[in-house]
Amino acid sequence: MNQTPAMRTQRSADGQVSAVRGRSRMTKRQRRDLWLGLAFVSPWLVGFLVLTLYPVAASLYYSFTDYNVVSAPRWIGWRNYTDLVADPLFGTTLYNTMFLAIIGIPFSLILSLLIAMLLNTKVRLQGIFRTVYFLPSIVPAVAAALLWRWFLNPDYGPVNEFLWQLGINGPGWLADPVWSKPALILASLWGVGGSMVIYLAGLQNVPTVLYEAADLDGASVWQRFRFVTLPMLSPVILFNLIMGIITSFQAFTNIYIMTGGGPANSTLVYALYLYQNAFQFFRMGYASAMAWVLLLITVVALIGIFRTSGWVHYEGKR
Amino acid sequence: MTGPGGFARRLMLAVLLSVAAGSALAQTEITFWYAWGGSEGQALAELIDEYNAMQSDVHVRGSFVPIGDGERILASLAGGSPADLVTVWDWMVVPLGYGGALLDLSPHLESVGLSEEDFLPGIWEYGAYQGEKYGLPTTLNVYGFSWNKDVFEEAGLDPEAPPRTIEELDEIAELLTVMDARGNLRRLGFYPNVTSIYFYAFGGQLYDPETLEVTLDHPGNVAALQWLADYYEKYDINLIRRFQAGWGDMASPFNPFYRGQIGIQEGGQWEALASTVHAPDLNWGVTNFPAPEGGRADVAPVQSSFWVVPAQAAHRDEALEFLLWLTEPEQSARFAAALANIPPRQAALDLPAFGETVTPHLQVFIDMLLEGYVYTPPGLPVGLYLSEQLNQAVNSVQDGNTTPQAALETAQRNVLRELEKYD
Amino acid sequence: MITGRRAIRNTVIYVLLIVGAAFFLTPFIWMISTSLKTDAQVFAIPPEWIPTPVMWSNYVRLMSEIPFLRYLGNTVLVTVLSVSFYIASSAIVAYGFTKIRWPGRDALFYCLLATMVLPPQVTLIPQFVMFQNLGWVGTFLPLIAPALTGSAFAVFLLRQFYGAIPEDISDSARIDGASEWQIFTRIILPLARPALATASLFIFIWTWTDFLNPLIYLTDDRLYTLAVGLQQLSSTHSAAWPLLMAGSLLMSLPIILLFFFAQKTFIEGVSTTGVKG
Repeated sequence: MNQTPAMRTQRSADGQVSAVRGRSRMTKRQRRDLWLGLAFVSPWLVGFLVLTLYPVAASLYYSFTDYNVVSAPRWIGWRNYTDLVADPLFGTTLYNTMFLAIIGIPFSLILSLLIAMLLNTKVRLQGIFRTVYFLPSIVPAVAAALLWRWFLNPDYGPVNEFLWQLGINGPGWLADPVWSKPALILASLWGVGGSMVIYLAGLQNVPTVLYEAADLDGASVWQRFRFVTLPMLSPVILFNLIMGIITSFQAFTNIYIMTGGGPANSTLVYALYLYQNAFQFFRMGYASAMAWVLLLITVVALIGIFRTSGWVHYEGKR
Repeated sequence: MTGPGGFARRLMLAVLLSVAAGSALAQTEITFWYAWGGSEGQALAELIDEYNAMQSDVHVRGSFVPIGDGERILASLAGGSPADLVTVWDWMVVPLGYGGALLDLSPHLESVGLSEEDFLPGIWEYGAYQGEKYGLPTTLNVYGFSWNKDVFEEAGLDPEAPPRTIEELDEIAELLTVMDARGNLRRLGFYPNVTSIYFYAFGGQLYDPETLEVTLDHPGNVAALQWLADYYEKYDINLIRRFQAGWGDMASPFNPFYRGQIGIQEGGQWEALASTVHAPDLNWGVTNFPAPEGGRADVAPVQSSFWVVPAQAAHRDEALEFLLWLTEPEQSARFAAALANIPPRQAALDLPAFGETVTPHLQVFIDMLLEGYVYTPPGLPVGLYLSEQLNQAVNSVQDGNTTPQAALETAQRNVLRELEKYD
Repeated sequence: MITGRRAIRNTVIYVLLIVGAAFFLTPFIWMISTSLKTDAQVFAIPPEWIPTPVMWSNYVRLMSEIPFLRYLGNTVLVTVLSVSFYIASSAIVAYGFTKIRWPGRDALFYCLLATMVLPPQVTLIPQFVMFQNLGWVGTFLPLIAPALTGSAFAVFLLRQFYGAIPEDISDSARIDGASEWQIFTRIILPLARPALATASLFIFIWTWTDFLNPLIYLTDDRLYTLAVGLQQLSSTHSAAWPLLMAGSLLMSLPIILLFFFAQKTFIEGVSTTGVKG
C-alpha cells in the first residue's frame, strides 16, 4: 500500500487512532506492547540465544562437513546434501515416515477425540476409565512392543487366530514387508491416551451455555458436535495435529524396539536412519544434513498447515 | 607406651600414621566405565575390589555405564574429559582410535613383553589398525554349528552325524523342515543368519588380512550369497520371517533351538552354559561349519567387546596398569568364566578358574578357536557402516531385487567410497 | 424416566468403553504379572498371565541389587525441579505469544516450533561440549537449568489454551488499570488450569523416564536417575525382565497416582466465567 510521506492516520490494535508524520512509527501503545511482549517471552528468548543457538548453528555447520566427532570436521560443502539425494535409503526412509504420518496421525487424532468425548459425558467411573486409557502411555516401550509382537504374531497371536476362525490366513504383520507399517499403526493405538488427555482438557473450555443454546434450537447430536464442539476444540485439534507431525517425524525408539527397521527396510524411518548415521556409522556430518533437510520439510509442512488454519477459532487471541 | 623411651616411639608412630594418611590422600582415583550388570557386573566389581585392596597407590572407581551406541562415550570424548578406562563395542574401537581419541597400546604391550603368542590365534590383530593397537578384547564369543540330536532322531537321521558338506546340509535341512496345516513353518531345518560365516566357509572373506583391503565382492562371498539366496527362495523368505516372529527369547526355555523349532543353528559358546540352565534335557551337538569343495571347513567366527584407554584420560598410566592387570591370565580366566565366554589369553585356558567351567560342549568351541580359521569383524574407521551395507545387500537379494554379484558390488563400492574419507 | 433409546445408547457406550478398557489395561497387567514371575516364565508361549510361583522376592531383590531409593531420590529431585521451572516459565512465555500483539511475534513463535523439529541427535554433541565448557557436566544442572527457559511443547499447548479464553474480562481489567502481569496471574492463569496441569503431566512423564540426558550428563553413578539405574539389573545373557518390570512399575506408580487423583484439576473445575446466562 502506498503511503504518501505526508500525514496519515494509524489505528492500533485496541482502536486508538493516532496521527503519524513521515514514515510509519510505532505508537506509544505499540511500543509498550513490544516491550511487554518481549518481557514475557524473555525466558525463552534468552534460553534460545544462550543455550539453543550454538548447538543448532553447530549442527548446521557440521552438515557441510565430514565429521566423525572424534576428529576435527573437514569442510566438504554441499556434498552431504547431494549424497543424501542420491542415497536410495533417503527416498525409502522418507516414504516410510510419510506413510506412517499420513495414515497414522488422522487415525490417532480421530480415535483419541472419540474416546475423549465419550469420557467427557457423565459415565460412571469416569476417573478410572480415563486413567485406564492413559495407562499405556506410561508403560515402558519395551513392554508394549513385546505385547504387540504377541498380539500380531503371525502364527499364534490372537489377531491371526481370530482371522483364522473367519477362514483367513492372516498376514505376517510386523514380519512382513508389506504389512509391517500397517502393523505399526495398529500398535500406535495404545498411544492415544496422550492426545485424549489434551482433548479432555480442551473440552472443559467449551462453555456449557453454548450447548444449552444449541439444545434450545433443537440441534441434533451431530449439529452440536459440528457447530459447538469442533470450533471450540479447534485450537487443541491444531495442537494435536502439529505435535503429531513433529513427533512422528522424530520418533524412532519405539519402532526400533519393535522391528529394528525391518523387515527389508520396510520400517526404516528417517529418524532411525539419521540416528544410525550419527552414531553407528560415525557420519555426524551426513546425519546433520539429514536433520536440516527434515527441518526444512517439516517447516514447509507446518507453514502450510498454519496458512490453512482459518478453521481454527480462537475466542481470545489478540 | 609411657616414659621417655615411649615418647620417641609415640612420636615415630605419629609420624608413620601421618605419612600413611598422607599417602592415602595422594592416592590416584581412576574411573572405569563398564556395561555389565547383574551377576556379570558383580564379578567385575569383585575384581576391581581385589585390585584396590592389593595396592594403595591407585583406587579404581568402577561405574555401570550402558554403552548403547556410544552417545555417552562420544560426548565425553568430544568434551575432552573422558573416563580413564572404558568398555566399548568392537566396532567402535578403530573409528575412535583412528580419530586419535584412544591410546595406542602397542608400545606398552611390548614393554611388558606381551606379543601375539600370549593371545589366542587370530586375536592379536583384533582392534588394531595400520599398526596401532587401540584396545584389548575383554572376553571372546565364538559361533559354532549346532544341531538338535533329538530332532535328528525324530526325522530318522543319525543323531551323531551332522552334515559335513554343503550338499549334505541342503539335504538334511529339507528333511527336517516341516510345515503345519496352515501352510506355515512348524520347524525349519536350518536357519542361516550370520551371513559372513558362509562367506568365509565358501572361501571368501570380508577383507584381506594381509593388505587389509576390503573385499566384499570376493567370488567366495558371491558364491555364498548365491547359496543363501537359493535357500531363502526355496523356503520362502516371508514364511521364514513369519516363523521367526514367533520365536521365544533366546535366553529362555522357549529358545527355538531348544524347542525343536530349528533343527540346526549357528550357536554361540554361551549355549554351553545356557542350555544347561534352560533346557537341561536337550541332546545337542556342536561342530565346525560345513563347507563346499575348496572352501574352508574350519571357520571360527569370533567377537568381543573391548577395553580402551582414551588418549585424553586424566590418568592414562594408571589406567594402563590396571588394564594390563585385568587382562592377565588369572583375572581373564575368572571374568570369562563368570560371563560364560572364552578368555582371550592363551595361558588362561589352562587355569582352574576357567578350566573348571569347561564342559564337553564348551571344549568343542575352544578347539575350534585354537585350530580353526579364526576371523573377526573388520576393524575399520567406518564403524557399523560395512555390516549395514552387507545387511542391505542381503536384503535386496532376499527380496529378489538384485543378483548376489550386483548386491555385493554395490556394498563394496559404498564402503570404499566411505573409506576414502579416512585417507 | 430414561427412554429406551437412551438406555440402549448408554449400554452401547458402556460396552465399548469396557471392552476398550480391557484392551488398554493389557500392558499394565502384563507388567504387574511379569514383575512377579521367574525369568523362565516371562516369554512363555502363549503368555501366561498368572505367575506361578508368585515371586514377591523380586521386589526385595530390586531394592537390594541396585540402590533403588537413592536413584528414586535423584529422579524425584530432577523431575520436581524441572517440571516446576518448565511450567512456570512456559506459562509466562506463552502469555507473551498469545495475549499481546507485537511485531515479530509470530515469526518468533514459528522459530520456537522449529526448535522442536530438529532431531536432537545432531545437537547432542555440541550441546554437551557447551555444558562441559560451563563446567556443568557431572551435576544435575544440564538437566534442570534449561527448564528455566521454558518448554516449546508447553508453550505451544498453553498458547492454544490461552487463545481460547475470551478477552472480555482482560479488557475490562485493563480499563480498570490492571497491569498485564496482574491480568496474567489473576485472570488467565486460573482459567488455564487444565492446560497447566496437562502440560505438567507430560513434562513430568518425560523427565521421569528420560534415559539419554541423565546418561550423558550424570557422570557420577551416585547421581543416576531410575531410568539409567534400572539398566543395571540386566546382564548380557539375561535381560532380567521381572526385575526390570518391577522397577518400571514402581517408577510409573507416582505418575498414575498423580493422574488419577489430580483429575479434578486437569479436567474438571473450570467455569468459564461471565458467560453463563
